[in-house]
Amino acid sequence: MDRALVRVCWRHLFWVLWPVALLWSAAVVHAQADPNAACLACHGVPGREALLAGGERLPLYVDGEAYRLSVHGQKQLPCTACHTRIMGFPHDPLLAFDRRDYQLDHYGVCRNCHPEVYDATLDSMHARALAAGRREAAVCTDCHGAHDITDPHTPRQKISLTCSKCHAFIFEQYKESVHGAALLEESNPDVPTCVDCHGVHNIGDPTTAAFRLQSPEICGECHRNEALMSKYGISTAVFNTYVADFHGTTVTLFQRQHPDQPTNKAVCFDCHGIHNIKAVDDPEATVVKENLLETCRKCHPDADINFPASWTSHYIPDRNRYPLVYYVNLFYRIIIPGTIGFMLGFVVLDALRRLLLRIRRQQVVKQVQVEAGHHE
Amino acid sequence: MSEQPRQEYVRFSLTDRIEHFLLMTSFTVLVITGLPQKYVPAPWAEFLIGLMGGIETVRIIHRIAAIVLILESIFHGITVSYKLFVRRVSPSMLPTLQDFVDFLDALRYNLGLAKRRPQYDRYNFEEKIEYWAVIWGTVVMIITGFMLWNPITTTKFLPGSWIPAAKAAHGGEALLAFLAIIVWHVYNVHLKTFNRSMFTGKLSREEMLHEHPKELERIESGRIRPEPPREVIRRRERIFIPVAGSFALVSLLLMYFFVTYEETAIATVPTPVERAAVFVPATPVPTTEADMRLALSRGRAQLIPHAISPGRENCLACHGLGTLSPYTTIHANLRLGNETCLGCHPPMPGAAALPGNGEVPSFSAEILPILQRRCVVCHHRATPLDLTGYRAIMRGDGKGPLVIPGAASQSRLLTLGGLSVEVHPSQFTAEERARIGAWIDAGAPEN
Repeated sequence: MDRALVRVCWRHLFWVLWPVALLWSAAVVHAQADPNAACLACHGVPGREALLAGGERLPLYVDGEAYRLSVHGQKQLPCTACHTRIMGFPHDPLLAFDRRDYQLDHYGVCRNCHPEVYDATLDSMHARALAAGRREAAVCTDCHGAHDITDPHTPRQKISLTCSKCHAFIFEQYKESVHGAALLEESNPDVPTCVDCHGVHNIGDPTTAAFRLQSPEICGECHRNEALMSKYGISTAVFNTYVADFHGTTVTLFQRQHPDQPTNKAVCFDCHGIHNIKAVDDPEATVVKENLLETCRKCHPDADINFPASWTSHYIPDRNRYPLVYYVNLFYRIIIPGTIGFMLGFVVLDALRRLLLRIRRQQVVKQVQVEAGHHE
Repeated sequence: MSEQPRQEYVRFSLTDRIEHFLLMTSFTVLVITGLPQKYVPAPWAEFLIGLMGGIETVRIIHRIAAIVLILESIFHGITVSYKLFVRRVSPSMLPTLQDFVDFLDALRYNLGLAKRRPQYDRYNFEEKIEYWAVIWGTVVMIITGFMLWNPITTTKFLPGSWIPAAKAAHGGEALLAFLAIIVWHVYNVHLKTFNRSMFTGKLSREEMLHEHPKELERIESGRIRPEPPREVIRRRERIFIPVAGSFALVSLLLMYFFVTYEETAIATVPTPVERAAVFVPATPVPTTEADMRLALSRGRAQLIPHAISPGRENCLACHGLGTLSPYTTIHANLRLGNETCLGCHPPMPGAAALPGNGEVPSFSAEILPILQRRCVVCHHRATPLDLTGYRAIMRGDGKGPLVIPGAASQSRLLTLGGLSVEVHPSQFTAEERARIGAWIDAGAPEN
């Protein structure tokens, strides 16, 4: 058989097979009552692409199985629930310049079903960056995915891994931290993921004065929680001892009275680190004794070797830790009531005596008047 | 004379009254601005601080009042010494045994165990308690206040724990002083009888008779120490004034030094522990040219995973030209280098430097063995391109030198060695390329 003949045969076979395939897929659609089967008949074929005006190729393939397992697939949402512009076949031509253009053009449909979270994102850093022209700023589908959306917090690591897609450098630090390591290695339910500190949809700007002033409250949310901290043998006095000290007092007052004013007094992360925060006994921790002076010097460049001990390390002074502070406090706990008690006692006695005298004098005066009346 | 009804006795001189005024105002301001700082989580404390313009303002006011109090203390030292050493008045403020007896008598009288109140001299024990309490309190407050004001200077001489101890003492003493004033001072000179002498300077005869009968008796019987003659005072002043003047000068200088010496903290908001690049997309290493184009078009090319350190500024010295090992397929035939690399691949912030930095590879120990392994089988003495020794390499062939010291990317030793396997069967490994590049960039020494 010569080659031309084979080619002709194949061509004929194609024209025969094509309607058959179409009919067969229609039958499959009918049998399974899968609303998306018609779409997947074409879009379920791997490798299909559309050439966009900017030269990029838009993959048209959708993994039907992944969609079926996704949250939307389980609810049996039709493709057109999101792809609202698809009215039939043939589709309207793609106008997107490139793939990002297509994504940015389409994520708005999420609002149709999720208006609250969508509107929350409008206040976020991502929305601000997008509005400022940064096309790579995350929109709904960048974090949640499009066709393969599953529960965003199962397993818990998934939360921070999602953020790591764009914030890889910060994630590298976070995963080495006491929080990150516990999350990634053991899916610890107690440690903060990215969103526990930054928020989820309305992620604010973490570099503002307001965020800085607010930050001890963020840490305090867990570190004040006795039930949570006792699991790890961490003291819950850390928050109150911080607020009682110079730094914490100032920051607390600023937060309540001038929440948008910057203050240079240290907040938790100035000493402990931000994403790379280590356990306090980790030799790499910024607050471990060997590194503490260096940490202090960030703000107190002239500080000397004795200086770090002027901070009582979140301890409430007692006989063993910071005994001098403890005994000074004890001294005043005795001397104040003692002195003031003595003074009050003396003053009250003096006042009573004077009152008594005055009453007696008045009685004498009255008596004299009475006697004088008698004489008249 | 003593029969006159409005007879008045000078109790406090104008200086005394000015001193009291300074003490009163600075103390009041210190209490109002200080106690709220001690009790900060309490709502009343926060309210007061807010009312006064916020914590930073409150601290400034507190420190200004502290300076006034310190100045007044220095001034008081001078006026008291003047009275004692120049006018030689009797040190009537010193506590005596009589004061203790008076205290017991007063207690007995108040309890109804004695018929007569104790007869007081110029200063009774109540006033002495108050005076010495003020002295003690002021000394404690000034010392601890200075420690808190200058923690860095303090910890150069004292253990760190003295700072929180000073803070505890400063707060405790403040509360003690405030309560003592409220109980003792307010009762004794405002409630018991309203004693105006600290403002008018004078006491009436009735008040004298009631409060300081012994002093009145001494005055009226003429048993008071006579004022020294003017020339005696002048003579003493000639010694006193320079001494007091130097004391004042030293004290003032010391105070100025303490107030301005230490720059406790930086004035700016501390820089974060980490300076993190925020948007650093994590992408899989692109493996196809299409992938790479895509990555480039989205601004998502990989960051350079190591620091660009001295001796390694030249990307092509290690990665080669044209094939860009180990990303050969992506960059095939791009024929771009260095600045162009950095255009798509910014260095990763904070990345570590590669090992072997800074040190110049030895030609004889490292470079020559590589050449002998890879090159010399073809390029030996009998061929136009001779790579058997330092001189031969530096001389090159008919087309010019093989090595341009300091410019690895333009040295043909590397660019030719980076040709594809089909064209040039022997290839440097990435590590060999890196070592040769480092050697050339270091000036290609014969070491």
